[in-house]
Amino acid sequence: MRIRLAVLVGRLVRVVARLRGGGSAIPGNIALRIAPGFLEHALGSMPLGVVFVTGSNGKSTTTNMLVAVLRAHGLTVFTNPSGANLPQGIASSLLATVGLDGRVRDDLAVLEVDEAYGVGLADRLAPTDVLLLNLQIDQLNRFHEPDRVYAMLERIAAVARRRLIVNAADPNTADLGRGARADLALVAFDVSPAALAASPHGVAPAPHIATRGTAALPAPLVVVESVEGSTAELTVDGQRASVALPARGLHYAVDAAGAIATAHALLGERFSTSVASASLGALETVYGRGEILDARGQAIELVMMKNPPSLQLNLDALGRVPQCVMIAVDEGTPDPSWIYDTDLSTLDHVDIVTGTKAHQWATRLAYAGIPVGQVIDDFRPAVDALLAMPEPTDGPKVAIVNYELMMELRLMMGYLDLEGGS
Amino acid sequence: MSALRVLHLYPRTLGINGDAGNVLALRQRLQWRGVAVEVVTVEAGEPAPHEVDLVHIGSGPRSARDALLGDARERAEQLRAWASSGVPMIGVGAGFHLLSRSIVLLDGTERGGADVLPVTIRDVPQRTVGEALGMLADGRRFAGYLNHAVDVERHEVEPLVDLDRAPSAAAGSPAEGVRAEHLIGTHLHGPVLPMNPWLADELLTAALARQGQQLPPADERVREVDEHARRARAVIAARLGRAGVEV
Repeated sequence: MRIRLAVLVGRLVRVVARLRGGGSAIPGNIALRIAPGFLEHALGSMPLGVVFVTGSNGKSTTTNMLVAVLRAHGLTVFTNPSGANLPQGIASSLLATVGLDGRVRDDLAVLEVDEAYGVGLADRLAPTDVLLLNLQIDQLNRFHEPDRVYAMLERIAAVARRRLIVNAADPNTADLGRGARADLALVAFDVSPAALAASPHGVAPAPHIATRGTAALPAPLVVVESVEGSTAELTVDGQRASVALPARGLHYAVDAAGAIATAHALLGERFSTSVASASLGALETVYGRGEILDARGQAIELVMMKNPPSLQLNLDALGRVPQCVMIAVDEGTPDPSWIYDTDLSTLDHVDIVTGTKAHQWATRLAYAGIPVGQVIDDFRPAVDALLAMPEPTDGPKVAIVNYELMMELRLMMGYLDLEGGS
Repeated sequence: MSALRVLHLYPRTLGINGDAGNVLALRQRLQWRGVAVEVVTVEAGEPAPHEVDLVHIGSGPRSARDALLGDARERAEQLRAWASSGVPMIGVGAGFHLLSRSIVLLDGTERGGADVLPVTIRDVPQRTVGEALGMLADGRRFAGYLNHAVDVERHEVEPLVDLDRAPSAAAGSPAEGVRAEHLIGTHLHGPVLPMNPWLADELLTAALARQGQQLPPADERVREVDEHARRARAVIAARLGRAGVEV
């Protein structure tokens, strides 16, 4: 009864919230208040299991890829849209799909889960399979130390019931694989030394935190052999395959390798490399990464500043020294000290710096010898100034933004669907 | 004189909070003033040069700190010899802890540090996280960001600064870091030297003085970056409820 009420009320709130362009978490939050067991109930009897995708970076992209590969093989898959990786976000996305009985009817669920909330979610949802992407320096104001994130990933992995899939190219996830419970099937994916050497900044792992069991990882099921532009050459179970990536960059190739390794393990005999690579070729750009925003008729290319590795990879992926650039960062990034660890050589100037962290950015740029046009403290006038600049000839204007100001920019430009994805 | 030699210890293992920015600030502030500078990076197990003019150790996770303690102790004699010959040093976060007399872990185990700074570091369960603002007796201001989980017990030595605005967990103890003449330990990020450039210049002045040299006056580039830093400190002061104070 409570489940039915939660679904009905949650759905109603969801319709209202979407009309107002409001946050995506509210309907899920309300459903969970009414029926605290909503998630367990909805996902409790998935025929092929529940897969968790977690790690510091690439969760959304990898989840998106894995779902595409599985659907291309004919499975029906429930998933949470990109970024909706907290319990309330997952509950919100469930509201769109469950029947009045509150149950999902798909073959399996693939969930992108936040590292910290993943611990509680793992206890509640008992995932069959866990895919560990990487452990990188991320949100130290929130996680404090990568050691704590390591412990979170360790706990999530410990709850897996069937299989653990790990990135062998990341020393911490590789270690978590070596320390996996003996009854778990262990699957690894990897990056060839040549592909690592060819990438400007490699895979950017956090410092190596612990050394677990001494057991060896299995030979990798998928290896990234090389990346050329936005195409990756992989070896999948001994077979060469070429896959299209959503954008340039080794990290997307690593995400693809993780997705394909997981799909291969889940599908077994049914897995087809050609079906998998065709499905990846049909994917669109992921929300907020290399996304082009329509800003009053002008294009703005977004470069997300979430954490050191992702900023670096997104800057590297620009593929040009942009002619027109704004940097906008606010309190969503409480301690931006780490921008000194970022190689900014893809910038030869910055036109506008804004947000409450503008002067910290201006200091950093001055030490890098990168001229700054103007510092405009308030965000909205800064956006107006950016739009008033002449159109560049090399592509869209570029905005390097943290998540919070990206959302504000989207709101300013009249984007209502803040859930993102599709 | 030959180039001023800055030793950056453990940059790969300790450097998750932009600590490379401290070394960048030291280097640029010399280069802009026409002083030759050489940065030497040394990881655990690698030999360090016999002669250095300034030492920087950055911050990192507790696990990395604990793993490096042995290496830091092996270098302790060298570090103390430099310190007593007037080589300025700055340790941030874990780098500060490595320079301490000892570290008391959460389980009560006490482990010796390099014993350059007369302090005992005690790991505590509660973290101090957030922006901070402090003032020295001469009116100069410190700003930065704290993110640590230790208490610092000072043995007849002064704190680097008393904080007048700090995250709640640190509220009971306004003292931040430690200063023993040219030897500094702190938990401030920002990074601390770009955010508080006068401290960078003090370290450089001490390093040059050992060579009988003076720090040349700031040029336009130094003044420009320092104005950005001043405004960054002003914004932090305003966020901490001290809008308009001289920073």
